Amino acid sequence: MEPTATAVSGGVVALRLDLVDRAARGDVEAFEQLVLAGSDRTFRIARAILGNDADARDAVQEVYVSAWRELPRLRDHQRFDAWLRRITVNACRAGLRDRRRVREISLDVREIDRADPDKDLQQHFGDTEALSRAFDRLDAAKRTILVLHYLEGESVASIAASLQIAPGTVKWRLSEARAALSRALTAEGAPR
Amino acid sequence: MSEQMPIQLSDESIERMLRDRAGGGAPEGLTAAIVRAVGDTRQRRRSWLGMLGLREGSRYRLVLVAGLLALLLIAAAIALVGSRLQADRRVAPPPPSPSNAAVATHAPSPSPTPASSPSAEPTASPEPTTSPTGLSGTCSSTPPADTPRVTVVDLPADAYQGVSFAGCATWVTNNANGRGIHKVDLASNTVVRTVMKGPIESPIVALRSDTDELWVLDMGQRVRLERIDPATGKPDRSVDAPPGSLDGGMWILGGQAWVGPHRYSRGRNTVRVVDLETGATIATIEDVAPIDMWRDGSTVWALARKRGAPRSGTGADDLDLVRFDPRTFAVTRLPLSSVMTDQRFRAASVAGSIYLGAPGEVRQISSETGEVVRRIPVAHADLGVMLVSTESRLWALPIEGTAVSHGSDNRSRQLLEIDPATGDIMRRVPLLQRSPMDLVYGYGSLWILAPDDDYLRTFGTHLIRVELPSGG
Repeated sequence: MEPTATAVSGGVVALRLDLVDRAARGDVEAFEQLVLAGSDRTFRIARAILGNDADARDAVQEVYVSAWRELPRLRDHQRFDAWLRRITVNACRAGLRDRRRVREISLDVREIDRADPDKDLQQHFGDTEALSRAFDRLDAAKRTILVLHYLEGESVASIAASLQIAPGTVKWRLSEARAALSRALTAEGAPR
Repeated sequence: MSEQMPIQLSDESIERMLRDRAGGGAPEGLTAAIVRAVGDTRQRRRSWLGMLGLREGSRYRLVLVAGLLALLLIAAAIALVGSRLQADRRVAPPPPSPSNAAVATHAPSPSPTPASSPSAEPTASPEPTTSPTGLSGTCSSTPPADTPRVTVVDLPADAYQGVSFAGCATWVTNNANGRGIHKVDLASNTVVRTVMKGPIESPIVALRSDTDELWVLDMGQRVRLERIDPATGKPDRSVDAPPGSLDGGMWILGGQAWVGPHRYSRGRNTVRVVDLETGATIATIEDVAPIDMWRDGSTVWALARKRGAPRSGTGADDLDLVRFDPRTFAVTRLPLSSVMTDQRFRAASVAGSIYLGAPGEVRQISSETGEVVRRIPVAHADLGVMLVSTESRLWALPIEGTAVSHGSDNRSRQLLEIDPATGDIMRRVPLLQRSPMDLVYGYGSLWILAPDDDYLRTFGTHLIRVELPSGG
């Protein structure tokens, strides 16, 4: 069975590489295929880093427009995925920077417990919410490395390739980001 | 004072939180929007470096090598000229005199004159040799005679949250890899100092103030409003920030802080007004959620969401113009229609009228009815217009873009001076085509925060200063 699986996997890789090659030569339809295949994942990364739909939507659009524009300059087409992830990370970083101190956040629409609104509010501000707010306090680099590792499940080597840094640096940054999240959560829970 | 121990996190809790934030995938219509945008975008051609089989990054290495070679050549030329001069001196020494002797004794002294640098923390920073005259005055030595003077100030990092003015200096908040507020010297147009440094987990925001004071929101464990002494860079007054100050928007208007509702709050939209002298909340105004506020004389104005509009809404018809009575804080709502709600496209007041930036035009709004009384067409503004007012003029920055709503595809070609009496465009100041994040006015200059990047590489953020001629 394994050779068959490998053959199928190899075929998918070859097909994808062919799409990248064609897109780099200006084939819009090939690029559309790449967008269809990758936009969900790109959006999830952006949504996790930026924390709301509107910014994530903008970032993902920018990622693919930039990728389309710059694709002819990508030398090694086999590195398309890592390259695209790097553009995603940079777009999210720019998105965070563009945010004004008065933020517009698209809140998830949730049903409120009419009988006991306080209870609903309390649940809304539960652990995940507090952790998410603590995450909002982190800078783009820390958010990125946590998202790539914990959400995307990427290995240290893969993150190193995406971010173009050494694996040892990835480990160190991951540890730093986790510690920063812990500190931010502590600060989040502090009385005001 | 007891310090809290950091909370221990599990991998599962981080994963759960991130899955929750990430949502289920691309929303409906996004892929189609991307495909449309891609269809409208032209691909770049492979560069000559690529044709030669060199990496794109090689360009910078080539420039570096060329620069080093140039430096070596210059050094060699200097050495050659220097040795000839030495030879000349040995041949014909100058006649001794008391002044020459003094110079000769002093010259080899190893104590150089202290020079300011962006990273330096000078105890006495090089202040401009002028006296502060308030936000509308000019602190720099000489305003340009008749044409605006454009200067680009380099900033040391790239995560900025706005520009403030106090003590004859411009202050720029930076929350990249650690917080801090950079002081830009008006005389030299350079960053001369960074104050209120700290960890990024406790970010800080310098608030825009219409008085000559630097107020910051310090989001440490206890959220506080602090006034920073521009001379020492340290807080000289501190008051507790009311609920909502984290993200709800805050404006320093006169001696008061106006604090918008917290973004996570599901309760009523409440604005609190804090007296910055006493720290007391002097007014609580219900049912208002502002996205921008400003003061015109004694009246405070706001662009605020309509009653019942979602706080996350960005629709074109979600805004009201709101006027607050200066004594009673009573609210008067004037409904607006079809305006941009992006906060970068702020409103401006000049000569008793209110102006709003919109795609392709600037709209003059009646401060009595909220109706559009004049439309001033603006070219290259398909995404809208950023506005700011000076004493007697309106300045507009048209934002040109393609399919995306912000970022490197957005550019601004020029700054326009508009005569509010006639609506005529009086002057055009060409700018580098950059994506502006903010446009503000202070100390006789317009200031534009503009990042310089292409999403593949960030080159940094610049602060563009446009010094206006007197009366501009």
